[in-house]
Amino acid sequence: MKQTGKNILIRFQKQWQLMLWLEVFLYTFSSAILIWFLTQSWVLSLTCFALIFVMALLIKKPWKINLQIASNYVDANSTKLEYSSWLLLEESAELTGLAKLQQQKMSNTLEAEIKSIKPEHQLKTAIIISVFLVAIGYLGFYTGISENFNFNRNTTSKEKTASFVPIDSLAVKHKVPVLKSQLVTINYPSYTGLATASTSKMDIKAVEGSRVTWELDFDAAVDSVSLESMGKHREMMKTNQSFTGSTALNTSGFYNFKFTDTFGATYSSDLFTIEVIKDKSPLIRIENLKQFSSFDYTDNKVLSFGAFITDDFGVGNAHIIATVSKGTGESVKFREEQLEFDEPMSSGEKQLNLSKTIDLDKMNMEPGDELYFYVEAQDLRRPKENTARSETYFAVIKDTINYGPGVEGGLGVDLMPDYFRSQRQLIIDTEKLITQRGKISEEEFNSTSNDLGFDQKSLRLKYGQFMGDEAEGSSTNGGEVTEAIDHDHDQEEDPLAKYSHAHDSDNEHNLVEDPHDHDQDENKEEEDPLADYLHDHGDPESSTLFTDNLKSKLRQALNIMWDAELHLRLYEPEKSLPFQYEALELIQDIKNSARIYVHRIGFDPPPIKEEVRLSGDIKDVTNFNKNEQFESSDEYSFIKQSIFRLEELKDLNSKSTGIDRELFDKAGSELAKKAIQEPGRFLKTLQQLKQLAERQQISKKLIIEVQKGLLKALPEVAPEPQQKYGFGGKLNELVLKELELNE
Amino acid sequence: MSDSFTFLNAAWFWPALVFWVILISVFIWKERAFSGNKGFILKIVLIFLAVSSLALLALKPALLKEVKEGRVVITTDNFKQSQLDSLKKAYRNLKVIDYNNDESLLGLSNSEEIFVLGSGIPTYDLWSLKNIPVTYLPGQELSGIIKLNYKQENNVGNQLDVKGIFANPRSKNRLVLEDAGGTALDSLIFDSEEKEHFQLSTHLNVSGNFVFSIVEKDSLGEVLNRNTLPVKINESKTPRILILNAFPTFEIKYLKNFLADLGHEVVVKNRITTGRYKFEFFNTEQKNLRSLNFSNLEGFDLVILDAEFLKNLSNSERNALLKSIKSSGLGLLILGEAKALNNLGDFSVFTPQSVSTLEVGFDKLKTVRLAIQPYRLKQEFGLAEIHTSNASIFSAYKRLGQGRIGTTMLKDTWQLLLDGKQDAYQQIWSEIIEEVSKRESILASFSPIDKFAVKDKPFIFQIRTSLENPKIFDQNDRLIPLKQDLNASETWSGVTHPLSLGWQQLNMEQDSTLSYEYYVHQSENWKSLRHFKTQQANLKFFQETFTSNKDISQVYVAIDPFWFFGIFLLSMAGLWLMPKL
Repeated sequence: MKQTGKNILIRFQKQWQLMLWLEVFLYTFSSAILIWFLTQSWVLSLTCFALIFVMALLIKKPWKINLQIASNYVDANSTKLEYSSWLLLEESAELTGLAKLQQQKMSNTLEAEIKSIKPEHQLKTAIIISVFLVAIGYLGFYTGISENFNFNRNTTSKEKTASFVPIDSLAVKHKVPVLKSQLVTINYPSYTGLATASTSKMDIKAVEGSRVTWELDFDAAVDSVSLESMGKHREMMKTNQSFTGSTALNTSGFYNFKFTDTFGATYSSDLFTIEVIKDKSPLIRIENLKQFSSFDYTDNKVLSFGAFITDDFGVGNAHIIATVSKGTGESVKFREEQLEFDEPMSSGEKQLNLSKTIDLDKMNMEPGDELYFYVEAQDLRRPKENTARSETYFAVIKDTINYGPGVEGGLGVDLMPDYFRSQRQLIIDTEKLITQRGKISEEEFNSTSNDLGFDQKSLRLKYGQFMGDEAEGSSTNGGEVTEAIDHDHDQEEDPLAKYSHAHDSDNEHNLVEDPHDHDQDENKEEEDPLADYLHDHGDPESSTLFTDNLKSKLRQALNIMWDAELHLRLYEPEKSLPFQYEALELIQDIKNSARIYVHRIGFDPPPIKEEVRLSGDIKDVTNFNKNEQFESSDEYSFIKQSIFRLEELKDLNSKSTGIDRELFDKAGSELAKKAIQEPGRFLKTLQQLKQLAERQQISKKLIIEVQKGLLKALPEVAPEPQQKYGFGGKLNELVLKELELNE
Repeated sequence: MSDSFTFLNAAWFWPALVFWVILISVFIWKERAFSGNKGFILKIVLIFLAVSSLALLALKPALLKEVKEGRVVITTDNFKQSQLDSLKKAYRNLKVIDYNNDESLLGLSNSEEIFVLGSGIPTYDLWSLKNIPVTYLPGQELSGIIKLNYKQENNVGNQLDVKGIFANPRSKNRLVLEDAGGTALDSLIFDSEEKEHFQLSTHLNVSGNFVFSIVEKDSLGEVLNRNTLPVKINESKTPRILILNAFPTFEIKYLKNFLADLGHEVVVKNRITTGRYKFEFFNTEQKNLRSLNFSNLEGFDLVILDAEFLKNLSNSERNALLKSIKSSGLGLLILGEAKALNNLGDFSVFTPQSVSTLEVGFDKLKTVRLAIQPYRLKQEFGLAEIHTSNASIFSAYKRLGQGRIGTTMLKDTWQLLLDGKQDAYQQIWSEIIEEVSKRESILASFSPIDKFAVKDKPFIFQIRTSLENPKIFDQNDRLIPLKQDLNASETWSGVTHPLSLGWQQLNMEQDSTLSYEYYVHQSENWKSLRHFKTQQANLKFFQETFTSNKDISQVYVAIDPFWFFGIFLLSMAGLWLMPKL
């Protein structure tokens, strides 16, 4: 029993200790994680871990919790234990009888009591604080605030100072002035709104028009410092111990420094790049607008759209240029207007979201007028801003009087008479009449239908004219037949019919067909002998206004019009409609085929007389001499020579001579010309070539690298005819002779 | 001294004798006091023995003996240890000579049998085993490039083709052709483990002597083996061209522009009308070309004309042209209608055969379709093809005396230029012009017997020259003796032993401009290739010389010096002991 009591106490003590340890670890881990998030440095994180661990350990002292403290704590936190839990720790043999009793009692009570006693700890706070710390760290890492603390990155971005190499190796006898500090200050053009940047990194990347200032500080006296860039040489100003120079950036390129110390020795630095970034033109995106929009006269003629304009350094100005065109052909008139967007726009924003509503009525536009417009935006670039414009958008108010396609295509004059249009009108009227059936009286309906029939007839007659018929002739001819049929069904319709002979003749025609035919035949027989030799315009059938195909089409159309008229006269406009449509289609066809009559004009050259060919007088024709020299300039000649020379140097392992250095220098300028387009690609080779051009002792590795770079810069050579060579000895001659003999 | 006895160090005979006499006399003089003693005679004998044996140690006496050397094994590079072991097991007292340790191969003629193991003995040392029964056992199977073919001397703008056979490649390994700067130009990946034929190629851009390399890499890009590939790239001369035209054509116009733009010497004579011509001189002086004669044709390497113009030439012009071709090697390229090729008199050397196609893709230039006249050239004796497509010849030349007459069935090639296929156009015309043009003749041509010269190893070369008595110096101005070929008097051969690595030069005394440059490789380079070659040579050599009967000769064999040393020791011991007894 006593054992149990002591065990309980031991367990309690262990639990307590564990809690404290846990707290310590929570604090340490969370702060270490926080530091890692902020600095991303394992070293710092581990140091922090160790520090916090020690501190937390010293504060919490988990090892101090012994059984004594545990039992005191248990006593203090329970009323039932009567401050005698310590008895449980004693060996029962050493206790007095009373104490033994109390010990036994305690053992029992403790078992029940211990569950309600919790060891003293701040585990909850520890958990909350550590979660908080980790969260802060993560947030800092995520939002990028941590970059300010980022020691790692700072160390990497710290550029090595430009290394100077003596041009003359003899100069290394005395102490070389060492570059203490280097500073490049880039003043961006004011409109960009970019702050002045200072860096020790010598490779410059800046916006066009920026001003760059270099400041070099040497630890010893230096006579002069100069800046060399793309063949230009610029002395740097001496201010106190440091040298400064500045220039405005306009083109990409390379530069390097050169300085002369007080002993007269010259040193030169590596090459550095200047990369000029061009200010881009604004980008315009028009939203919610179709390229073509058209409105009917009755529509609400309002265009509304949004324009999204972005620029790399801020948009200066944006507006809409609109042009209204009125009229057609030669009488067209344009009116240009500059419209502002609905919102007032502020200059210098990098992104603009503008909108505009254009009311065509307010633009004084009438049916048939067209509106062209585009959005134009400028940025803030100085001295001359970049301008960008969007695509052009179109808006048209449809004309109410619209002509269908005519035949004016090739003829210049509208030859088609107006009544060609009325077939469509007839259809419209017929359709209108059909919809009115039942609404109007039958009499009125029939009368309208009959009127339409009459219109159809006159249309047919007029088309008949096109067949080459005389108007009257065709009218009588056609009239006869029509009226005959009409008459059968409706006598009211044509009052003239009653008084004409048409009825009779028609009847006659119907009844006594043969004599009439015979008459015609007789006539034909009379005319036949002549007909073959005549170009008779009188004969409607052989009229030459239209070609055969057209003629047959027109004839077909006339026949269909017949049917259309028939049904109209029968007060059956529904049945007539299909015929009318068919007639309309045919007429449209005919209109289109009229294009065949576009001028057929060509030139037939007169035939050449064979006998006079090549017999001209060539007295004045003289021999002609032309002499031309093509300078085939090889823009890579020094590069090629350098490649070969490097190969030799590789083998000989010898020092380069003055001539070599001159050659490498020239190769360098050849390569620089090529490199301007891609400064990054050839920079290393250029730098190395420069080293070659300035040093006497060259390492083999450098030679190989430069050669490799130069070989890569060379373009492929196109095949070119070359002269072959060979030794033609007696043996060859003998063989050739033998071959010839045996051939 | 008899024939059967000699001293190997015979030169020391007299000094040794003097020394012997002096020593003997000194001893006798020193011992004369004891001359009456009974030991005196013995002492004298001992002294005599000791001094004599000393003298003989120096002189190395030798006896003529019939030697039976037994069996000898010569191990060379790449030999199989297992072969050596089994030989050792089969024959006792097997003598092993390691060829690479520079042991002499002389004196092996008495061996009962000789085994050569490994890659074999280099060709220049094979003679020492002539008429001796030798069994050659090739060594381990070679892995690497065992055959290689490429043009060591090439021109700028040409393509360098490296062809060869790679034995036992490991699958997925690559073979890379690298330029002098180490840039990979072409590569291939082996896909099988068997003998593989390979071809690597690149365009040559820069003139000079360069060392390319062929590198074998494993699949991870690790370099396994690097072999240097020396290439001498020359700046080429361009042919001088005369173009004669009965009437202007687009073909000629574009060809003329192409050549003139590249800086070639081109002269164009274009007939404007009867008896009137337009002369164009590009990159050259104005010349009188009213009529062709032998002397003004001398200034050209190639004449391009159309059949029409050829027909209109006067008799004297035709003869001059023919003479130029036959005697001075002028090239003549006839363009124009294929049908007209048949009736050109002396110049009718081609037989056109009609075909149905009007468009071909040449074997060398498969991607480009070219318009042709519906003819091909009949395959005849002496016809050298330039452009072929599926065994039909469309451009070719024939030799006529020293010169060449060529033609092509191609038509409207200028359209390639308009299509932007500049390269194809240039390639086609470059090939035709190059093949037909006059060859520049050189005074002497060098050719190495083995392309791969190695430091300190003999480099054998051949010269063909019409010079009476050519003299060749190496770059240190040492004369290299030449041997004239018995049958071909124009062929000479010489041997030199290059002392340093890299490019070496052979100069000709008669013409200082004529020098031959060769590259001396490190001995690690092209091992597999050289081993393969020696292996082949050994197989051939030992097959041929196996039969001859050998006669056992007698050889002087030195008496073992231990005998003399023993006698010397014994006599010294006797001298020391005598007073004590």
